[in-house]
Amino acid sequence: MKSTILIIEDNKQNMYMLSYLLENNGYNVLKAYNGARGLKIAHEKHPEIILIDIQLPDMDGYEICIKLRHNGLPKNTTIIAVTSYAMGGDKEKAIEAGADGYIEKPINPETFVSQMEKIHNTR
Amino acid sequence: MKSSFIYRLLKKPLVAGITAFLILLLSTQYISYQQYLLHENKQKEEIDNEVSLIKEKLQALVMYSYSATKALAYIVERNGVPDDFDDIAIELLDNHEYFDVVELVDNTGTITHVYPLKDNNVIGFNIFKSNEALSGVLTTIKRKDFFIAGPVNLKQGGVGIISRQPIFINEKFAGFSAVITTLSTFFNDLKINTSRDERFMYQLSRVNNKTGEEDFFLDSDMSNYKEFAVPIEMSFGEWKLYVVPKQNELNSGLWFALFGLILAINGGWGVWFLAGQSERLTRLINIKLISQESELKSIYETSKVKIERSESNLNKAQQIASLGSFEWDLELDTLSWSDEMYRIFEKDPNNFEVTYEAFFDNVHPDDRDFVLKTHTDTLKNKNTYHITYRLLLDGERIKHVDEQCEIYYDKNQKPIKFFGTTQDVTARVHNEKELLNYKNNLEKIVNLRTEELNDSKDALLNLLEDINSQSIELEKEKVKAQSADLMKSAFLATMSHELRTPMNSIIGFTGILLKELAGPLNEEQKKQLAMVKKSGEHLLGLINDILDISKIEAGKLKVSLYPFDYLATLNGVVDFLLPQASANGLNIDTDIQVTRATLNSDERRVEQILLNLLSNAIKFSKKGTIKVKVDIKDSMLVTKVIDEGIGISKKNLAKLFMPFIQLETGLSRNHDGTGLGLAISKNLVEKLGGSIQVESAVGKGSNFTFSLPMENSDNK
Repeated sequence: MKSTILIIEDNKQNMYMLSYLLENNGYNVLKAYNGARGLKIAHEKHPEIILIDIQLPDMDGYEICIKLRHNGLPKNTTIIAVTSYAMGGDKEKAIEAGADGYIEKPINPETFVSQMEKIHNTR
Repeated sequence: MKSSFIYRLLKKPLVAGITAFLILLLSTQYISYQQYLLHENKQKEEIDNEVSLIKEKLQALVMYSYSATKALAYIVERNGVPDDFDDIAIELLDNHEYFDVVELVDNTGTITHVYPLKDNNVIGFNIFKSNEALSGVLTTIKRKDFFIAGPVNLKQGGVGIISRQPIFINEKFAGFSAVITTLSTFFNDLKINTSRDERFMYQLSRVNNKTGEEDFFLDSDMSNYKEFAVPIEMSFGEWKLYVVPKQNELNSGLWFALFGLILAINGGWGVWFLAGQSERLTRLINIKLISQESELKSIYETSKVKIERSESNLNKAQQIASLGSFEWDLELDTLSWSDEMYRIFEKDPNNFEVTYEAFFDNVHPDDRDFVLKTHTDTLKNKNTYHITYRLLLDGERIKHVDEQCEIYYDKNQKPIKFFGTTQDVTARVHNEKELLNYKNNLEKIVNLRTEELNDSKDALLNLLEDINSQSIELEKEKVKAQSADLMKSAFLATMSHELRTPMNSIIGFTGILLKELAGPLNEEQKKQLAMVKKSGEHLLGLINDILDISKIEAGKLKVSLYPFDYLATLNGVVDFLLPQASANGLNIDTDIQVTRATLNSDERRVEQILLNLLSNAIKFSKKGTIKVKVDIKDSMLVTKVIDEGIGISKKNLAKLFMPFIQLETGLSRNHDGTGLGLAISKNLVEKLGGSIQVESAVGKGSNFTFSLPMENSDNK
């Protein structure tokens, strides 16, 4: 029984791609298309892994990271930031915001799942 | 002399003590002795009294016994044995203090009558048959007269004396009349308890004719008290009476003696102790006095030194300040000066007599009225003053002096003394004059300058107005530029995101399809999809490069510096390009001269640089090995990418790092590339604090070398 992953991503095609890859690998995927909804689902369902796209339109992705990390989620929840490296320092900001790791866009479908699992397992 | 010697001797505690002891001892012992004698005498008297008393009574006893027995015998001789024997006996016993039993004995020796009969029934007893009575009886008979026998153990108990008178009727022995004295009764009548008297032991004895020894009537043992025997005239043998004081009564004299001894000892010791204490005390007081004396002396010495020092300090102070002090005693009308006053007035203390007049002579003539007035007013009004005036010394030298004064009053608020100071302020006055001149000059100059400044100021104000209006313009420009700049940043950020997002889908989904995750593909489908993917990747590369160069041109390229493992990054890039290299028949060799290289830089951008250089090397080589060398020199991490490719001509080297220029190399222009790679790499290297150079020759290959600063020096 594989874990539950929550994906917070506003772009529909990206969401489709991520969930396709993950479901293909046996994960149970929850979807949130904005930050507020993402927080809500996170508190209700307590997924083991949360993927956040940093470039969300309604909230600062880093802010959401922080909120997730410090607002009563189980301590062993893995939070992974998906960054597009538009600016320097994205990686570091993600870690400081409480992410356990980051994956860069564009997603490499060949390596995405293993990248994610690596972050989750080495936590 | 002598008496003092004795006095000193007596002051010695031991001597005093012993003397006191002896005196006390002797006096008490004398008193004790007297007491002792007194006691002895008293006792002696008492004994004598007792003895006389007893003696008297014994002698009386003889008498009365004789008369009683004689009387009874007479009666019997005349009238025979009386019927009223009892009555006669009672009458005879009226004197019963001497005897208490009356008996009649017949010629056979048998007792025929006894009175009192009670407890005493000896009637019928034959006295001839008693050994004890016999000797006395026989003596009586022989003597034919009264005889006293005893000590006798009486038949009725106790010890007694039996007085007998023989009765002769017609000259024939007819018996006895007898009276018996029980000694216990005898003594009881004298109020003497012979056996239990507290004060005396009593004994009565009679020398036995036969044995020559004493027969004792009582129980006491008198063997130790022979000296107490008092002979008693009793006519019938040698009688002795003993009255011996019992030793239970210690002569009070002895108590006195003992008490006296104790007193003497205590007294003697007490005196010795007290004398000792007083001696000790005297010694301590002396020591204390001596130490106090020396203390006082040292205090005096110190005070004296202090005072002297204080005075000399004061003097010195006055000298340093050129300040003299004076004292004007109003009652004695005398004026006295301190040393410094003489110096100020330039007078010799030995030659100059200080009076008010003498002082006044030295005041400058022009100031005399003023000074005199001040002094007189002060006297009159009894206040203080503070004035400055001039002295004229020897008619030629002028000094300025500053004089202050205070008045001392007595209990009744009457002024008794003026105490004041006079300070030589000549120097000060001159300085003040100079300062005034200088100030006046300065004022003139200042006024002049002020005018000049005012003119300058007006000019400056005009200039300022011009500048202000100009800066307002500039401000407007700045705001414009800032907003343009902001717009640029926003544009670039948006473009980055907007352009990359669809690329995500293109590359991603084609990737998924090619992995056959959505279902199996035939060869043709795979081929065509691969082409789509490749184009997508190419497009993404173009977009990235364009965005990078835009940022660089706009000055918006940011790097973030973090420590990372350079070698790992390098190996990652090499591993990534190895398939591509081998597909072109090329090798990649790494020659790394450091064991560890932690670089504090932007990992992503460094990776980008390496990727660019190595891809170029692969792109422009047809054969051979691409070498990558890493070393550290002068705290710079130096990386060389050396290929054996087509090389670059001199002409082209100049244009190499410029953007948008792909070189005409003779190879087809269908290179994957934007012509931006090297320009971007150069910019990145320089942005990261390093530099990049190239060495190349046509057909000989190229050597691209770039270096980055090592901030940590713990790498080698």
